[in-house]
Amino acid sequence: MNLVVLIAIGVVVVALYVWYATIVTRRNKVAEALSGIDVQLSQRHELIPNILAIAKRFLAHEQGLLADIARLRTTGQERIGATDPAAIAEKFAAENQLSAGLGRLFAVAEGYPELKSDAVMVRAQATYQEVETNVAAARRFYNASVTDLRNACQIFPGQLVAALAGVGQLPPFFEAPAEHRGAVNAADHL
Amino acid sequence: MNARPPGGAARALALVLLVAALAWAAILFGAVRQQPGWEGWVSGLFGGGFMALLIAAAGAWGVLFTLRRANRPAAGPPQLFLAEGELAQVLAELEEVRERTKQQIHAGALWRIPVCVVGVIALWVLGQTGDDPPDVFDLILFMGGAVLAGYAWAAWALSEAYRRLYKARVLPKIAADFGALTWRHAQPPLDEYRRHRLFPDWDSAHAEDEIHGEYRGLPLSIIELKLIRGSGKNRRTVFNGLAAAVTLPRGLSGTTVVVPDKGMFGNLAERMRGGPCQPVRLEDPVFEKAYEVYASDQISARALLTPAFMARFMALAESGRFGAPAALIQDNRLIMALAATHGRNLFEPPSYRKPAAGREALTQLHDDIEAVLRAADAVIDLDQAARLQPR
Repeated sequence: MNLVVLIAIGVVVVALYVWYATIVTRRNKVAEALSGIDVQLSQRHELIPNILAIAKRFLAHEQGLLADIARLRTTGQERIGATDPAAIAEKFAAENQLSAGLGRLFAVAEGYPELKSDAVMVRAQATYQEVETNVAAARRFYNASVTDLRNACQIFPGQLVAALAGVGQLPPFFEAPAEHRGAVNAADHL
Repeated sequence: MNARPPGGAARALALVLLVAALAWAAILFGAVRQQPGWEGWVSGLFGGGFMALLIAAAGAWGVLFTLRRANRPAAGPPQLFLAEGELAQVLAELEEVRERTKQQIHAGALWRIPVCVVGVIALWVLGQTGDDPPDVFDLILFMGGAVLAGYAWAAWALSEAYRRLYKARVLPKIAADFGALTWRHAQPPLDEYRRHRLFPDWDSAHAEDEIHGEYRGLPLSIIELKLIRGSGKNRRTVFNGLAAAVTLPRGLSGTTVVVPDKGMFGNLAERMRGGPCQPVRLEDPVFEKAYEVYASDQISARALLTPAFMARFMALAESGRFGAPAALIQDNRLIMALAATHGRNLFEPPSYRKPAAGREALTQLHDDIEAVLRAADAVIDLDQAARLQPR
């Protein structure tokens, strides 16, 4: 009888340890994904001064928009490297605002043929597209990692082990900006 | 009209008569050996004589048929491709080579066929000394085989040389019609394919043709590839189709492999093998079920495998144009393995028996290049259209 109890306790301890190890692995994966996002966001931030410098030459009437973008970039840059879930959520919100601002800028640029056809602007826009694709990819990697971590923490006995594994407040998802949430048109693929 | 047959034909007739005489002698030997005494001599003389007459008649008919065919005016003008410029010049040169090849093959066949037939007769005679001597029907069968073997011996190397020359001269010219493209003997990166397990394990690879150059502004290479596993009765084709490689105008890094799902145990075995590539979990459940993705850089893999890319990838698989595709992405180079849904070899030149400028063959080669470029379009569109879609 004693042996059965000992085996049962052993099984529970091993199961809890495996769960603990899973949560730690997934927490680290989230940290890795978050640093991947920061790398891509830094690239976005590095690109913005060049875009603004070119746009200023043509968009004299859009100084408000340009100032907004510069301000949002500064805000976003300050939050790079944040690890606290609340600060991460603020960072994501700021970055989504910045993304929306840049989207508006390129939409406005459509109305200025000289700006639109400027060689430097064309190159900057292509680089921006590439950076945005990478930001989106990093966001997907991060969100997948967060989902895994949340599943491990929220399914029993995850709640019991999460605190031991150093996971207090769960990290937030990085929602895609509204303009990126369009549906994929399957008809185009056939 | 010349009453005497030409020198080559006269020699051929003489050889036919010699072979007939040898067959007669061999059958006589065989008959006497099996039935010693006058019965064996009689049956050998009559049976061998009959066989010798048959061989002489068939041989003479063959020589006359070849001769008449060579001198016969064509029933109608051959259906030729109206080529211009460099291609016309190349085809004219190839036509000369073809005529020369044909003559060399005929000249070679003239002595190789009799040598093979005499060899077979000698073997048959040798067989008469054994416990189970072959009969006359075996001799007929062996002689038929010897004729075919002799002709193949004469034709094989020369027709292959002509075939290779035709490909090397004509295919680059046809490919150039489609842009900055050319043809070359394929150089598939088999080590890369094997290291990243793009295909199931194989033992031998056959790749002869590669269309490469620049297409739609992108560096392109398309290789016709066949991979074989096992030999003899266990021989099976693990892949037969195209390996299309395009260098994308992207900033991707690392290695990503997309292969069809191998089931729970297959995937587990794949993961156990280790290596720098880790499994990538993607959001699309249908894609996740159909494919396994491994990558050395999780973000770069997702930068390429956007939801739109995945939807297009599956649409390509379901289009029926190819079997389930697989992909290997190394930095910006995307290699797609597209299994053929037909068994025909592409880029096959016409035989030396047909005119070099035959319309049907050239149209087929043109169509083959067009077909592989449609595959290239599918690969390029996969990325370009996906990038226009929401991320």
